[in-house]
Amino acid sequence: MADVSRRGFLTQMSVTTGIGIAGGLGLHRLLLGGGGDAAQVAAVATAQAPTSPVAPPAVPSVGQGLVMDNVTLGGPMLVHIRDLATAEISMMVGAQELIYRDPELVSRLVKTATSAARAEG
Amino acid sequence: MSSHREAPEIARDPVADSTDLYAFVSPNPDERGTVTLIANYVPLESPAGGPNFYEFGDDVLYDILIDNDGDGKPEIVYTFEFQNEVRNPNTFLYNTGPIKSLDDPNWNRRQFYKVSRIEMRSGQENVLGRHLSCPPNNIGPRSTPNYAALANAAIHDLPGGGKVFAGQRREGFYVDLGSIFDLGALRPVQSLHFINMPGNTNGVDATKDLNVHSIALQIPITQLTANGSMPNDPTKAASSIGVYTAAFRRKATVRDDDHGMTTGPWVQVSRLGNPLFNEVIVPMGDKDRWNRTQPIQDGPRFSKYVKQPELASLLPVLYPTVFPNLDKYTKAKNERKDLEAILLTGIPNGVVPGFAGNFTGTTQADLLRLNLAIPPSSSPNLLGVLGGDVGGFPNGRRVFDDVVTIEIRAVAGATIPLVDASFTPDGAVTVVTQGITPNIGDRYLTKFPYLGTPKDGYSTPAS
Repeated sequence: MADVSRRGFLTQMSVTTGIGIAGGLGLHRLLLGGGGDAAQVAAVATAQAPTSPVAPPAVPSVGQGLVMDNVTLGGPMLVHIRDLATAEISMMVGAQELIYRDPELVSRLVKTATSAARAEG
Repeated sequence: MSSHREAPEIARDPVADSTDLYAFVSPNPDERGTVTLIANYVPLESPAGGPNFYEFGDDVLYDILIDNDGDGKPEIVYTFEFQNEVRNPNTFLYNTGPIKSLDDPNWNRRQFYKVSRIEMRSGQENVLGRHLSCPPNNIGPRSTPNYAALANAAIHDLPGGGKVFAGQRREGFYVDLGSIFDLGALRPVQSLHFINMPGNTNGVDATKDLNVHSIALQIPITQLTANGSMPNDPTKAASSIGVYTAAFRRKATVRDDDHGMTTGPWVQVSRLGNPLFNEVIVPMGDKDRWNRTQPIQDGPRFSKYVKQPELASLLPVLYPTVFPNLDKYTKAKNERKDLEAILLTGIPNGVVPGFAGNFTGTTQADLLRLNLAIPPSSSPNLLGVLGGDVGGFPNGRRVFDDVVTIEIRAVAGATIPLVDASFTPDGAVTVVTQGITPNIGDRYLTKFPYLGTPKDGYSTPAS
């Protein structure tokens, strides 16, 4: 990614935007951090394992944006599974991208897709 | 062509396709102390190409990037974002009457832009202008009766000095496309081609009636140098800058009837420094990758194509018997240090007699390098430095430089003696030409934005 990112030269940006790969973290946990500040996001992105039970997912209310890098991000979000084998997920909103791993979520999505494909025959 | 449709992926995306880049010390006395930078996009515009006339992409981000410390990375970036505004979506018409001013209510589909300057070291972005008007396309005498005035009104002053223009211009790059892409034929010497055709003739200027979209900046030199000074010693590396342009799209696009979107980081899809680099130097299998990478990566990834360019091997095949010395030199696997200097590092002082050079350092990167301490030439030569005119390509690039002939001659061996005194260029090198002499007075302007008034569709109908 670094060689194609428009701001690839700004190494400090790659840190503050929270782009990185974190292991064993749930997307929903990241989203539940919504409303938190950049430090929260960075903490989630770099933590190696959850230290407390995961809170039940909650959907942000309409008009509530996700905060990343001190910027409240509105508009649609695109979540892309970059690699099924490694459960690597890219989450894009605005001009931000967060890359991390979530085997649990990917497993559930694959299961859902498989079921849907079977249902369609 | 210089960089028009030069790679498979970008050929399908004209609004993001960088076609030409120009950088020169402004020659007009009223513009003294400034540099003109022009990045062209949207190749091969037919002047009659309505009803949806050409425009910049409102989903594309355009940059002009300047390296002023020789590290191959930009320290200064001018960035442009465009937006469209439609007055009446219930008509199919671009205009509903003559367009006599930039706010004329007859002009239905207008384009505006924001221009910013980014200091890359600090990340600080300064917005230089918002909602700046582009001119309309030059449609014809009924729709755009005084086009020059419309275009002049779209030249905007920048805070702190300088000017900006973004909009349609007449294509400045001239080339005999039909002949060159027909197995590398040059009409003036086509009797020497291995599939020879009788009658050597002048070249055919395939782009003289076409238009392009230009992003043009005129910037005080002191705003581009590393220490903010006006360079006056052309022998110092700090006097030279490297320039390139790049276009970016969002990483992801979702096409949907109701909720289509683009999102994610800006990803580079096109770039351009020296003319013809990706077009002629980089092979088909690497062209798309070249467009996605940064100039700083050219050394490890692409310099091999500069050191032993395919075209140097092809010329003796295309024109048998007239390039024996080049053939021998190429088959001996000699590395083309001359082309490395021209395209990747700049030419060091002392290599070309009378030219202080535009060497920016040993870092290899495809950048258009301009020595800011060399004044504009009072009697320009279309062959630039090859023609003894150090104010032209490859010391920057002026709108009228014959970069096709310059680069063919360089690849054919004209510049090898600069780095290898034992080599004697073949006699054919001095006569190889594409055989086009543009009408400079008709085609270009003598002041900013230097590229001429675009051809109108009525007077230049599609043929």
